[in-house]
Amino acid sequence: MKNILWLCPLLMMTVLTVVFMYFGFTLWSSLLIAALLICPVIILYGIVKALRRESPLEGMLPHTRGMPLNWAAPFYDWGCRKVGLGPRFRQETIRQAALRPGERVLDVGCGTGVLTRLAAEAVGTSGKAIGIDPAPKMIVTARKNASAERSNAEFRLAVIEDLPFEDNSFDCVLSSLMLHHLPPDLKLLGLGEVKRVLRPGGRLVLVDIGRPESRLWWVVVWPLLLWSFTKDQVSGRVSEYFEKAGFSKHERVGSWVKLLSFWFVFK
Amino acid sequence: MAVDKELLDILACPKCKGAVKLSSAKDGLICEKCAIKYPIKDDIPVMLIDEATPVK
Repeated sequence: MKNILWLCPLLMMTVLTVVFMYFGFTLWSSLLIAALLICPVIILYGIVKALRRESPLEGMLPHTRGMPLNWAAPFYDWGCRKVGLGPRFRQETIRQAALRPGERVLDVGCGTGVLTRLAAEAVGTSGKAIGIDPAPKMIVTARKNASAERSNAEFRLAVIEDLPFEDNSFDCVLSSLMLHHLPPDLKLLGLGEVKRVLRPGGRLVLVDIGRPESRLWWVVVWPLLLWSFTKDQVSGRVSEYFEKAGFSKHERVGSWVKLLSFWFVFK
Repeated sequence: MAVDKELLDILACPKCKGAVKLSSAKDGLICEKCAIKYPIKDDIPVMLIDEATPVK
C-alpha cells in the first residue's frame, strides 16, 4: 500500500490539469498551476512525516490468520463512538464482568486499550489489567493513552493463538469485539488458549456480533452470512465454539442494540 | 524498564508456555528452554514467536 502512495500527487496533478484545460488554459499553463497547487500539500506531508517519531514497534505486524486492525489505530476510538460503541458500551461490558478489586484481568484484542483502562480502574492497585493485541500501532496508541491517563494498565504485543502467559494466571478474560476478527479454526484455538490461562472457576466475558434480535437488523447484516469469519456468529452458533473449546458452562447474559451479545463463560 | 515482578511471574513463552526471565541488559525476555529472546521495544514486550531471536 505504502509503495504506491507516490501515485497520489501524480493522479491529483493529472485531474487538476484536465480541469484547468477544460476551463480554457493551455496544457503547459494548466500543468504549472496544478503543480503550484500541489506543492504545499507535498511539503506539508513531508514535514508531518519528518516530525512524527515512528516507534520501532510499528513495523512488527505478526503473521496471523486473524485480522489485526493496524491501519485503523489513529481513528478507531473516534469511529467506535460514531457507531454507538462509545464509553457507555465499554462501561456496560465492565459492569457485566463484575470485576472485583485485586483480580487479574486479561483483555484479548485490546485495541486502543479503552476497556483495559476501565478494567485497571475496577481491579485497583492490588489487581492487574493486561491488554494484548496483534496490531503494533494499536498497542503503541494504547500505551500512550494509558500513560496520559496515569492508568496502571499494561500492554503486550501478542497473538491470541499463542498467549504469552502461564496456565491458570487470570481471574477474568475480557474479549470485546474481537471474535469476528478470527477465522473459525482460529476462534477455537484462541478460545482454547483463553481457557488455558484462566484459573479454575475463572470467567471469560465476551461481547461480539451474535444473532440479531430484530428483523430489521437482518436487512443490514445478511452479507455477514457469506463471510466465514462471521457466519457462525450471525447464525447464532457461538455457543458451539465454547463447548468445543472445553468450557464448562456458558450463558448469554445480555445484548447491545439487539445485535451484539454478551456471553458469560466459565472454565 | 518497568516489567514488574508480578507480571513477570505470569508471563510465559508463547511457544513452550514455560517461564521467561528478563535479560541481563533488560532489553528482552529470554526463554531458556527454547533458547530464544523476545525483544522489548519502546517498553513493550513483543511476545511474538516471529520476532524472537535465538540466543547463544
